[in-house]
This record gives sequence, C-alpha cells and structure tokens, in this order.
Amino acid sequence: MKAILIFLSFVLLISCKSNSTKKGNGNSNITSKIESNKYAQNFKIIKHSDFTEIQIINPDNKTVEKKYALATDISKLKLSKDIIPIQTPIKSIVSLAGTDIGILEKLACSDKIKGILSNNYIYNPTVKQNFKNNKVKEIGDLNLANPESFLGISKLITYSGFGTPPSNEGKLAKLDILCIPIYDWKENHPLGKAEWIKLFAVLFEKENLANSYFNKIEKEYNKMLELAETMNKKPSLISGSMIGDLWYMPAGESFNATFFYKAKCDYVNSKSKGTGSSAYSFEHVFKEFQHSEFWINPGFKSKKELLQANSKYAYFDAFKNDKIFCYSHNMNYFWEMSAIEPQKVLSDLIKILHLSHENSKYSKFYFYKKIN
Amino acid sequence: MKISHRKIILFLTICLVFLSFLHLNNGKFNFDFGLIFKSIFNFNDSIQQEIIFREIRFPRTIIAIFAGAGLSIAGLLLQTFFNNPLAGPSVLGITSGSSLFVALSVLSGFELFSTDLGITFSALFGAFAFSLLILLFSYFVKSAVSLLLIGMMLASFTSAIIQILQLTTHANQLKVFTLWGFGSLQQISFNQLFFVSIVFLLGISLLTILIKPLNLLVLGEKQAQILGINISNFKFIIIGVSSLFAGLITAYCGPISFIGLAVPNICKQLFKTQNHLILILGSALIGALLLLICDLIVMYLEPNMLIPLNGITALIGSPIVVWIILKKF
Amino acid sequence: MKELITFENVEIGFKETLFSIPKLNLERGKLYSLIGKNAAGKSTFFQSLLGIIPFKSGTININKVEISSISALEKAKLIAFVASKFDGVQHLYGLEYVLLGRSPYTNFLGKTSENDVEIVKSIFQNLQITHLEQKETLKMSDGERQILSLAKALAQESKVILLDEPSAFLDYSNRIKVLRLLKQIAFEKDICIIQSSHDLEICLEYSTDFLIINSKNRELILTKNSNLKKDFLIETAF
Repeated sequence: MKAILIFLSFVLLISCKSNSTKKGNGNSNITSKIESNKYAQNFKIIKHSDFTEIQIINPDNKTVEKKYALATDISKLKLSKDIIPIQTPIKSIVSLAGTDIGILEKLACSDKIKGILSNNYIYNPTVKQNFKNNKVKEIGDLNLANPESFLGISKLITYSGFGTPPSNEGKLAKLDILCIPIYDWKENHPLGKAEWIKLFAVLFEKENLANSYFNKIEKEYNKMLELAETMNKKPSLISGSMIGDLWYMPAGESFNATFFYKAKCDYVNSKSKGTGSSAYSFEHVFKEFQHSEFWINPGFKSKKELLQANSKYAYFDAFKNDKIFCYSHNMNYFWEMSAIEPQKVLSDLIKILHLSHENSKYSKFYFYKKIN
Repeated sequence: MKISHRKIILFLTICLVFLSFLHLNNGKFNFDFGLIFKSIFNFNDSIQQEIIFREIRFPRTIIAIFAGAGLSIAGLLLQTFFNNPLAGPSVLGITSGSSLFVALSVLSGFELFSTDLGITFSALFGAFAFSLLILLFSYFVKSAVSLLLIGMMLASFTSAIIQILQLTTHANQLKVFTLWGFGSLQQISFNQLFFVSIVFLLGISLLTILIKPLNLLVLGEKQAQILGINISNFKFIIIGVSSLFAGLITAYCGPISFIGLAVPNICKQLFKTQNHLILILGSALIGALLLLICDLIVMYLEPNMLIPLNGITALIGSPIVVWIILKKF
Repeated sequence: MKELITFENVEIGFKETLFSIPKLNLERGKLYSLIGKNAAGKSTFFQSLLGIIPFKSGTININKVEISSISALEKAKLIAFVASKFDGVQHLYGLEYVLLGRSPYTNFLGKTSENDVEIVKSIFQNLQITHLEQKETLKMSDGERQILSLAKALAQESKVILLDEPSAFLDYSNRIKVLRLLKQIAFEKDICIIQSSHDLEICLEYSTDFLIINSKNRELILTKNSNLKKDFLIETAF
C-alpha cells in the first residue's frame, strides 16, 4: 500500500514537472507554471515567481511571436532580451483590434481606452462618449500612423495580428510604446475567442473577474449546445452574398460554419475546405441552393437593400419565406460583443433555426434580426 | 458601301448571333431554343431553369452586346473628334466621371438618387461633365499625348475622391457602392433591360445625324465647317452621344477598360476606310463580339479560376494599345 | 454681269485691323493672285471670306448677298477653300477624299448619289489624275495631295475658290502645273479663283490680276497684269 502511495506521488511529481518549465535566468530552482487555456490556442500565460509571462503565438506557424513580462515592479526583473517588460496594472490602452473593446467592457475597463481605429466602427457607449469629449483619439491604420501621435495617449497598443509586425514598431519602441498583436480572430473555437479575456485580465490585474466571467459563459454556452442537440430537424442554410460577380460563402472549416454546425443545421457549404470563404458564381449558388430554408448573414439590413444590390435575390426560397437573418442592423455591436458573448450568438442561431418561426416568443434576439 | 465591306459586316453579324446564343447558353453547345423563348416571353417563375435564363443569362448576354458596342462607338467618336487614335472613354477619364457621380449619388442617401433613373442620370451627367472638361483642356494642349495624360490625371483624381468617400461612409452603402469599382456584366437585372435598351437606342438614333459630320471631321474642324457643317453644334452632340454610351454602360456595368480604346483601331485596320457609317457598324459589331468572347473566357475559366472581366479585357486590350503606339507615335 | 464679290469699306482683322479694302469688285472667270508680306493678313482675309473668323467692319457681298447672312451650307456651295497643305489621312483614298467635296449637296447621312460620283470622276479625268482614285491619301506625294485638294474644291462646284499658298510645298514643275491649271479652270468654269503666293515670277507669268496688300498704307489694291512690273510689286507689297 505504502509502495503504491509512493509510486503515485512520484507519478504526480513527474506529471507536475512536465507541466512546468524551468527558467534559465536567475534562480534555477524556481519553477514556473503554465496556466493552460481550455480553448484558446494563440496565447499562453505562464506564472513565474516574480512576474507573469504572456506569449503570443502565431497561429500560422505555431511559433511564439512575442513574449511579455508583466509585473507590478519591473525594475528588479532580470530578463532575457526577447522578452518585453510591461508594468501592471496598465492605466491606458490604444485598442485597434475591435473585439478587445468588448472584452475591456466586460472587465469594466472601457474608460481606459484612449485610442481607437475609427469612431465609425465603435458601439461601446463609454468609448463613444469619450470620443465626443476628445478623450479618445482616432488612430486609423497602425502601419500608417505617426508614432508621435501616441505620445501622451498610451504606452500600449493592441492590434489585430497578421503575422508581420507593424512597419513602425521599431520607432514606437524607441518612444517606449509597445504593440501587442491580438489573434483572437484566428481562434477556431467560439469559446477560444472569449478566452482572450484572460490575457487582458493579466494586463489590468483583474484575473478573478475574468475567470468568473469566463466560467459563467462557458457554462451557458454548453447549456446551449445541449439544447441544440435536442432539436429534431436540421434545416438547410446558406450564408454570405455577392460581392461584385462572386458569392462569398464561409468555408466549411471557418469560424462561422462552426457556429452553424453547433446550432444544428445542414450548412450547404460544409464540404468546402479551409477557414476563409469559398467564392461561387451566382448561377452556381442559385442552381444548387435556391431552395435552402435559411439564409444567415447576407450582410444587409433590409430586403430593399438586398434587392438594390441584386434583384435576383428575390428568387431564393429564404427570401420569399422571410427566413433571412443578419446582425447588420447593429454591425458594430456584433463586432465588439459577439466574440466575448458566444453563448448569445449560439442562442440566437438556435432560436432562428429551430424556434422562432413556430413560436413568436422566441423571436427576440441578442445580435440578430429578421430581414424585412 | 463596298462589296467587301458588306461581306465583312455580314460575317461579323453571323458571328455575333452565334456567339450571343453560345453566351446565352453559358458557353455550351446544346441549345434549347424552346426554353430560351419560353423564359423570355412566357415566363414561369417556379421553374428554376427559366429563372436562370431570364434573370441571369439573358441580361448578361444583352448587356455584353450593349456594353461592347456602346463603349466601342464612344471610343470611335472620341478618336475622330480629338483626332487621336489613343482616345477612349476610360483613358480620357470619362468613365471615371461617371463612377464618381454614381458614387456621390448612391452615397448621398437620397432615395431618388438610388433608383435606376437616378443612377443612370448621375452616370450620364458625370460622363458629360468630364467630357466637357476634357474638351476644355483640349483647347489648351495641342499634343495628343498630353491630353491623354490629363485624362489619366482626372481618373486618378476621381479614384482618390472615391477612396476618401469610402473611408467616410457607412459599411452598407459602401457595399452597394463597391460594385462600381470594377467592371461586371452580371449586375443588371431583366427588368432594367427595358430602360437600358431605350437609352441605348436613343444613342444609336442620334448617331445617324453624326455620320456626315464625323466623315468631314476626319479632315479637321476647319475643313468640316468649309464643307457646310456647323461644327459648334455638332461638337456638343458628338460629346453628348459618346457620354451617353459611356455613362450608360458605366452605370450598369461599372468601368470596363480597353474595349473603347482598342476596338475602333481594330475596326479601322479591318475595314480600311474612314467612312463612319461602316466604322460605327463595324466598331459596334466587333466591340460586342470582343466583349462576348472576353466574358465567355470568364465563363470557361470559372470552374478552375475566377478572373474578373477587366482582367481579360486588359489582357487582350493592352497589347493592342502598345501596337497602336508603336505604329503611330 | 461679271461682278461676283464686292467689298465696301471693309476692315480685315480680328482684334486689330490688318488691312482695309475701301472698294473692290472681283469678277468671274479670273485668277487673282494675292500678294503681301508675311503676317500681312492673307490667311485672315481668306478666313473672313469663309466665315471662320469675323472681320472688323464693312460689307462683303457675294452674288449681291451679304456674306454674314449666308448659312454655312449655302456658303459651302459658293466658296471652296484649299489649304496650303493636306497631310493625308490613313485609310482615306483619293476618290473618297474628293467625294467629300460633294458634302454640301448630299443628304444628312452624307450618302453620295450616282450623279455625285459622275461629277467627281469627270474631275479626275479633266485633271488627269485618275491613277489617284484608289491611292491612300497618306501615301501620296505633296504634289499629288495638292492637286487632289484642288479636285475636292472643284467638286464643291462653287463660284469662288480660295487657295492659301497652294504652291508653298511644291517643287518648281508642280508649281507651274498648278498655276496653269488654276488659270484654265477660272476661265473654263467661269468662276473666281483667288490664290495667295510668294512666288512673284510664276505669278507674273500665269496670273491675270493681282491683289496687293500695300505695306505702306495697308490697303488692298487691284492691279492688272499688263501694267505690272516685278519691281513695282516688290516695292508695294514688301
């Protein structure tokens, strides 16, 4: 019995070890612990004894793109060159990625946002109000922005990562301004996007709030999944619309398609490969999918707008039977909040596909609206 | 009209009829004339095949013919008018003028401006305004190449304005608007064809009074006047008719490049005449044929490769332009 | 009645007066040579007659009709004009070019009748240039093009033909040929031909009447060939 216990504790020790990494600098006997993400793939948080490390992982080649060391007092840290120190909690942020504004809202940090991409793309009332009062600045494209314009605004910029650093990163670094690439948009799991709240929580030292929020939405999301499983039908569904001469439809492995499957339906483009979109001629879509029951995310606000763009849309069954749904009436709200509230997106889709046309009490949605 | 000219025109007409049906049939040879006929004259909107013919293929074929013919005629008029073989609706910035005014009217948010009539009118107005601007410049620059450079500057100027407009407008208007960024034969619907045909035929009928002045303009403005043509009146009709074609096509297809520039030159080389009755007929036929061929190439490549129409017209058109420059400049 | 064009107190010029014509009658059946130094206003004189630019003051009548009241089309039937140079046009052939001279008589489509073609063909024969009918104007020599332009002016069947330095770009033998031809045509067709020229010697030999722009008092005077000497011409005009 004793032998078994010793053996077990040995196994535990080994497994603990394998879950930890040794830091080479300073005291070699201090071990660090990786806070493993449940869904998100594109960042890692590692707790060291005297600081928290964030690793941003490039989703295309899975290598570490950037490392940051976060601590309340960074002056005493001895760090290797490739790790960038950040003093926490941060007081202000320039948020150019869009989805992070929703995350900051959930962390009650909207007022810390001092710079944005463009006021046209903002939903958040706090940010909009601050923009009106000249407390938030429009930056535009980071690559084109003048490094000087960040002085006095914020020392930290978050932007949507594309694998290459912004062209003015070097100049920004000389002004002591840091850029963090955000790859939440490359996460394949709906909860993976939401899990990025944990990264921002470290920056603002609000980890408890983030964890409890994330656990809450995870629970709700899973409940929605179970609900979807109880539905009997798998209605057919098309998505996207014409841009120019081509119909762009989310590909079979795309984020959008993933949501469609989870809500239980027969997504017509499920067999196509890739995570982007597939392009088809109008005639192809019409011939193959004219009789699909639902049409989700055409990207238009009204039937009139749809017809204005292309009068042939009128021949689709979904158009005739009023089964087109989209979030375009409040686009900015969707972009900011859908990533951090995936349970609501899923709930909307389940209602749309299975419930709303049978019982009108299910026709109130968080993000979506029926196109009339 | 010489016998040989008649033969060529007859041959081109036969080709056009054949290619039109081929195009209408999506490039396949198994024609079903009964179905085509039914879809147009005895339409049943519950039969998918009929919808495909009536709403997708028929408008695309007809507008290909209109656009090819219209742009080529506009190019021919401009080339004779400015006595410049490199003139054309897109190089002189006239289509850009159309695009700009269409953009302005769509983005203005006024209901009236977003209707077919509103968009067509803005496109025609834009084309006419920019033609007049070019006409004005033509009094100050004597060199043919300088005028073309001014046209190109007008084009980049308008595209800059359009870009700025795109930055400052909301996403949804933008979506309707991006269609004007590139040439397409697939935007027009069956119902719009009637109106487009009427405007097109108006342009064609105006052409009849232009044949004689154009023939004399070949000798220069002064000679035309000495031979009894009141040139200051016809100046505006010529500019007006070429703007009408260029504007109409831009309103429904966006900017289609190279056709207006290349086709009149091919036509002159083929017919070897300065008789504008033949040149207009020939340019219209060759233009329609060329655009049908370009669009057929798009159709044939579609299963493997998605190439925009302007890609094909540029591939065919730009070598022709280089050939003209090598020959004449 | 030989009078065709009459001038009364005319001042030629657009902004400033280049020269004046107190009183002058030009007659049918004559070849007039217009002599004057460069920039004296020879081309302006022609363009005023053609109605391309206005003249400052006075009255010019053709066939007793005030010139500015004549429509472009009617004027085309009265006055033809040959420029000093025609560069030729690609794909425009000799016969087609001369047929354009029939424009004042064709319908709005510019369709030429059999009669038009007949008239033009006979002009080709009279001028002995039938070999130019199917030749591209771009590929002709300057001399060929000049004769062809004259043929086009003849096709207009006008009462007056104006030629702006028709021999400027021609060699000696062609100059003589053109002038001889003009004299013959003026006589045979009983029309009035005015040609401007710097070529005094040939003019003296073939021209009957001289219009000289006096360089001193800036007046246009008419002098007969018979009482003319080259020295006088030079002295007055230059």
